[in-house]
Amino acid sequence: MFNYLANPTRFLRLQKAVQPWLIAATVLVLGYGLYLGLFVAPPDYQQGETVRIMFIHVPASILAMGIYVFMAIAHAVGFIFRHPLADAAAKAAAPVGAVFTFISLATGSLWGKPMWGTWWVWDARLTSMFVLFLLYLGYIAVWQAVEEPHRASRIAGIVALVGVINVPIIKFSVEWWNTLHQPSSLLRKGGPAIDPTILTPLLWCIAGFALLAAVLVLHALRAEVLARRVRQMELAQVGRAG
Amino acid sequence: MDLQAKHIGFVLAAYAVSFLSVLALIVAVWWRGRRVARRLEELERMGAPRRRKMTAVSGQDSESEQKELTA
Repeated sequence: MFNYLANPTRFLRLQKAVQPWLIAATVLVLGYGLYLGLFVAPPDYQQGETVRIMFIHVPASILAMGIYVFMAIAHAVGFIFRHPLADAAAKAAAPVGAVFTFISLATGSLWGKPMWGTWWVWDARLTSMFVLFLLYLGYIAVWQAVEEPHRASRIAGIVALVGVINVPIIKFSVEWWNTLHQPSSLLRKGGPAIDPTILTPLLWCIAGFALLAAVLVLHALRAEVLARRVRQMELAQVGRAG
Repeated sequence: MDLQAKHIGFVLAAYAVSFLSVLALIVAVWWRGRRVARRLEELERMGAPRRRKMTAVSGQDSESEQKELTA
């Protein structure tokens, strides 16, 4: 599969075939998850209706970290195996990850105000998540600023690989430091500490967000492959004219 | 969901921000794909070659780039 997808033309064919099914799955899974989260799950006995923010905050946060790890792996694959689509996949994923990080920060802030009494605190979890957002912006800026694609890929790869150190810091920040943010209640030893009436919609929403991310990254990767072809053809045209 | 509940404005605002952010992302991704596909069609109509001729100056980078992207 790994080598099979090394051919951009083959990838474009596969993406075109898979895309409608992925979009349909995204609409169904995310739609069902949000329906359960908004209309079926009961309000929390302490947090009341604000618990419903969790159904977007938690999936967005998981995807924000997951996409950054994906980018780092993609660049590592690009560096080691010279896979032609690896850095393009990382580049395509970055804006998607940045938007999910923004959603995580914004919804966290909107959840924090009524529950903690403040929009923002510089505690370890919130600060490390903000650093992740800056890493995404920096990564995107490298691709925009460096004109020569191979050089841009190398620098962006370094940003991705160095920045991935921040992901375990985000994950364990609530255990290593005393934070206002609560400890993990989903991915923890001994299983989730969430009632099934809330856990079930949350899992559906996580799956829905993951499918949405897959649709967007694959579509953005298709555009990136075509953009590189356009660049080659434009250079060839200039060469022919010169 | 109880629309009269305390703090419901925060819940609605969180969903609105998320919806608008995702919508903007979808539009941006779709628009870029469309723009690039149109440009590619335009170049193909003009008969632009897919590979540029190798020169001593263009070097190995462009050669490997061509192999990767025109495969």
